[in-house]
Amino acid sequence: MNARRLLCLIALALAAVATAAPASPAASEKAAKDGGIVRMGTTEPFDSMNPFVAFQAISYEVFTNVYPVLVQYDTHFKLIGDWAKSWTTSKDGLTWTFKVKPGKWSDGKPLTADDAAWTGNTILKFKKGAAASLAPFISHATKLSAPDPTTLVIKYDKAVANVLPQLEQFFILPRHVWEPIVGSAAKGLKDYDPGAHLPIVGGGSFYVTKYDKKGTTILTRNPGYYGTRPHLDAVGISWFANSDAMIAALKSNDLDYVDSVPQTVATTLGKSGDIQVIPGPGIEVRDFGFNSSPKKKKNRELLDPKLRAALSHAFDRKQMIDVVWRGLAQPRATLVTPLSSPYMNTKLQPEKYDLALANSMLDKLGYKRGSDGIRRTPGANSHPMSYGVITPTSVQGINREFAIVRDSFQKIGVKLTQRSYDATTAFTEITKPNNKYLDFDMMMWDWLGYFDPDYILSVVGCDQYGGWSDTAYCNPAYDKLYQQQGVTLDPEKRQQIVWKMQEILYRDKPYIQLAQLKLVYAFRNGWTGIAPPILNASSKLPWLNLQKTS
Amino acid sequence: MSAQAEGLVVAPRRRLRDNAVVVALRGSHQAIFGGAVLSVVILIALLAPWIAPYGEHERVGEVFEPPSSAHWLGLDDGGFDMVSLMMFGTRVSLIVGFSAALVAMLIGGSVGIIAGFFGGRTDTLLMRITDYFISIPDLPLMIVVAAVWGRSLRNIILIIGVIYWTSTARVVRAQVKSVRERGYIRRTRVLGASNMRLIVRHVLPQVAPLLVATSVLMVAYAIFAETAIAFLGLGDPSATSWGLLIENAFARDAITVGAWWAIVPPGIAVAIVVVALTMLGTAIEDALNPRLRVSHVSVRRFKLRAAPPRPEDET
Amino acid sequence: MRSTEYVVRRIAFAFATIFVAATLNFVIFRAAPGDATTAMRCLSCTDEVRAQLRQELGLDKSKFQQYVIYLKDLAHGDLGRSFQNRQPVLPQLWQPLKNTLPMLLLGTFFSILFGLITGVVAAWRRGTLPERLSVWTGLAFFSLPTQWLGIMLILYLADPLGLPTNGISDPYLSFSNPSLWAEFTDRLSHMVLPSLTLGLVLFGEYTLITRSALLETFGEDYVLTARAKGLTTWQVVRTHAFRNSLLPITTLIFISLGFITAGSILIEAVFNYPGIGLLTYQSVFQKDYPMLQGAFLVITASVVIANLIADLLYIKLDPRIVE
Repeated sequence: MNARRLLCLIALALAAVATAAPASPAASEKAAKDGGIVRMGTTEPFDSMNPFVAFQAISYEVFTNVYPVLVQYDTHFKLIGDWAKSWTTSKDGLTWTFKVKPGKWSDGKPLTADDAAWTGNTILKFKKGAAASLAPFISHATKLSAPDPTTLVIKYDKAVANVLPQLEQFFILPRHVWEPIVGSAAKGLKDYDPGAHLPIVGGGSFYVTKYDKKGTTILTRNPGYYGTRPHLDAVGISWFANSDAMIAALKSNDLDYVDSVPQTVATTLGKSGDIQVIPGPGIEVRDFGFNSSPKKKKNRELLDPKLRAALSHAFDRKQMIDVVWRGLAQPRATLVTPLSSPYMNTKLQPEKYDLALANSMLDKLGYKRGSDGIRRTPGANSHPMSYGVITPTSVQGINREFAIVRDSFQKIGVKLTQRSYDATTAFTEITKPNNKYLDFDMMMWDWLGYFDPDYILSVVGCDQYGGWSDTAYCNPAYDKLYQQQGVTLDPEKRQQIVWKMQEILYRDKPYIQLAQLKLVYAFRNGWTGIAPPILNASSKLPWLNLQKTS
Repeated sequence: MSAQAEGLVVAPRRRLRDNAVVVALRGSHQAIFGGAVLSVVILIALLAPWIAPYGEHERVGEVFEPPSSAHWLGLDDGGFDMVSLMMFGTRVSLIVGFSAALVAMLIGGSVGIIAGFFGGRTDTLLMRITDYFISIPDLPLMIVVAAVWGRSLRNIILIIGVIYWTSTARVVRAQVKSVRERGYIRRTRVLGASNMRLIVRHVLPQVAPLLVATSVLMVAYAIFAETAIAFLGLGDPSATSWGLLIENAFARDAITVGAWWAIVPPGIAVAIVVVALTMLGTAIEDALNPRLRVSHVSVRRFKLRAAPPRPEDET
Repeated sequence: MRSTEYVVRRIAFAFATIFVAATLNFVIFRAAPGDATTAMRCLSCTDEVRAQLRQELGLDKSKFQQYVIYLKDLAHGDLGRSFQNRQPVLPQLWQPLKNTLPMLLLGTFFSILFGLITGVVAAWRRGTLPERLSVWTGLAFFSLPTQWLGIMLILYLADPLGLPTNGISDPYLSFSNPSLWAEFTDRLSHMVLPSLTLGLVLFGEYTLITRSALLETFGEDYVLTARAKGLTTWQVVRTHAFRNSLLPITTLIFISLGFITAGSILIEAVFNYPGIGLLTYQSVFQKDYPMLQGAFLVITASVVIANLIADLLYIKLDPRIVE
């Protein structure tokens, strides 16, 4: 190897390095030093900046801030106005009238109620087609109109109880930008990539000026924003493939804010003194599920609520909270969390961890132990109580969670084997064959609900086979109550129905709820007006109130 | 009837002790080192339940507790003792290694023998297939197959075996080709012996030592591949292997917490075993036939692992 | 078989392999149960949305129909659109590839560097402990799990050397209006640790080549002749030994490039380096078939082409290979 060749190699390397540029055009951004930029790190992956295509939470976080929405949640998780300054409902609940604030889109064009009406009517027009993913946020709406630039009228075909929570995610798009793209038939609407046409015109508190889903996305303050002016000039969201790298960047002052700190790191991170680690409210609830399909083929003893009740005493939530979540979680008994209060049924308590009780209940039910210590089902066709538990790799720490359950079950004579798959394959294994749920026994997963309980209550509906259901639970009485609460406008009456629904689930135990995880986040010193990141996708307030102090 | 009974052909038979290969091995430092390490590891694997200070599923303290006099290598992300986990880890790592190597040997050996023995079009066809397999990047393929079949020990073994058979096939084929041309094979054939008998009685014994040598190397590759698979989150989460220990630590932020004791030991263990096996395997190959240019050195087929550099090579 | 015939056959074989690989891609990936629409769990992911999405992505057609469409598109150089963001796959592959290549090159540079040093030591101190050590460190590093080695570098080298451990560049650098030099050093500093990992894993081969090339040279008569003519040992070594090792090293480089495009998955996963390896890994779990097929094709093609070049070079090295 001679020196010349070496030099050639080096030159090549240099040339290649110089061309290894970030994906999007390098529009050199200079943030004013007085407003400043917050550098946020996340491991949530972006998918798209096209609201008709995107599903990921972080994309929705951006939409919430760059587009006007009628209402938003405040720091007490109550709905207040965002773009709407007031609203009235007709007596029959079928007509909602909103008074909206004047404002401008980031390109200077006026923001009016007409934009909202156009957006809503377009979604309704194509709700079975290209706009299907945005339809749930104006479900039961039939027509939107704008009698004047600051009045929006929405007509519904039913008096729905959760109109406002739905509208909280109804993003209003700039008509002058999107109408030509939609055209008359919405062809190619989903192929449109706003990320390639920067800046993306927005009408909220910020608008997107740089988009790089594998790198950093920048949102710049919108001068025409209808609300109180944000303290910050810009928000930067940097994506990291793993949390170690993200935490390292926070420690070395390459980031200011991390929206989710892994529980194993939470205690050590705060020790350094220049980072505050805050265990905030989280919406994730971990669960253990039984296949509740009445047609399931094998191990039908698991359909017996008495057996489930016995097994429910073998879940050591305390150890899970300690080992898996390092104390940063609360035991739970139901899918609905305190964030949806008063809808969480506080009378229901997590099943007690008591192996002796579980053992005696199993003995009484006739499940005798075999010579290998594993219990057998009573009666004819006796088989050992040995079951597979499907776990998705996408859920953090699921292996440790399962190991704790497995070890407890072993002590009551039930053998559990882990079946680990990626999320998609896991769901297919649960629903097979063909969404009939005939195969699996048990699974462990999680749910992330919303502040309004309607969504989370719907996931166990009979109509959710092949949809959201991961337990194949189907109870017509429960579904009837669900329909009822959907149109009960009186909050107290609605609460009673929702509490009853949770009681039914607690009795039938398609799930054994384990714990609600805290969403730990971290800020470097020198910031004020901090709000928990759980609000980031439901409110403009977190980024509005954030302010640098140093 | 054996060829010996036929009185026509006498395959060389000698006592194992005087076998040239064994003699060469006894003198080789590498073989001795490799063999010694392997024996120790196997011993630990067999005796793990009795010599491990704590249970494999026994929580003895806090998550990522640092090393102490009670726990020389501290605790992992579940509060389990690292020393015990390392010992139990030998079992899974060795099982995966040996089983995957076995699968690779069976497939590769069969392909190589058939291709080498029958030659002609069979040979060409089999070698084409082998070459296609070689060109496909193995790790992406493993990822996809693991995602499809799910994470279980059995699947991991099959995946590694099915992807690694190619190098064995080529090596075996070359050897079989040369054996096929030997005198006594020709004579036996003329006498009407069937192909099956020829393969089993005459070709196989000649090829067996080479198969053994390549198997040893294959075990090294397999153990190595298993850590890669486990690291990408595709290993069997219930089977404590060294690869899984590294992955668990990494996924649960051992780096940020600074829990080096959860990461360092498994990596070193893998390296030691792989080095030992490599030395042993190449020493056997050398002893077999110093003239046999089974070129492990680099410049042929490079997959996830190249053939490792041999200290004694190209002198 | 004569050389030219061999060359032609070899090239034809390379193309055939790429085609077979493309088909295999398709078959294997789609054999996985479920697809990109299966496990969507969000408020807007209703049944209608999923069904509609399936139809838009062509997932409702039979596998064979999908295969035919795939081949037709491929023939037009169209690698389809990513399921994630509906944008064409090919442009989204270029950037990761451009990110990975310099890292590979730098890694190769490191491995040659370490190989040279250890090889020289080994040859110079033939038969003693330093020689054995030099050669065996290569083997030792080769045997350490690649991802583990990367983690070790993060734990113990990153802070002392002040090197970043994540990504390809500092995302906020553009805010300070950096000079070209600042941008360059930023990129380079992000590349150092991943490349160093690669270099440490692969240098063993170069050690051996250097060592044997040097040993060969030492034994040659022309060394004596040259020295008699007044040249120093060093000058002789430099010309002849390096010339001897030139071809093997070049061949090895190409093989390495082929190998590590695939093997970079482990390194990129540890360092969160947005290259083609990381892309492949992530696309698997997102069931983003078009992206995955595209990435796989690129990797396979580079392996095949690199091996092709290496083989052709190898003929020069040892013409007897042509059977």
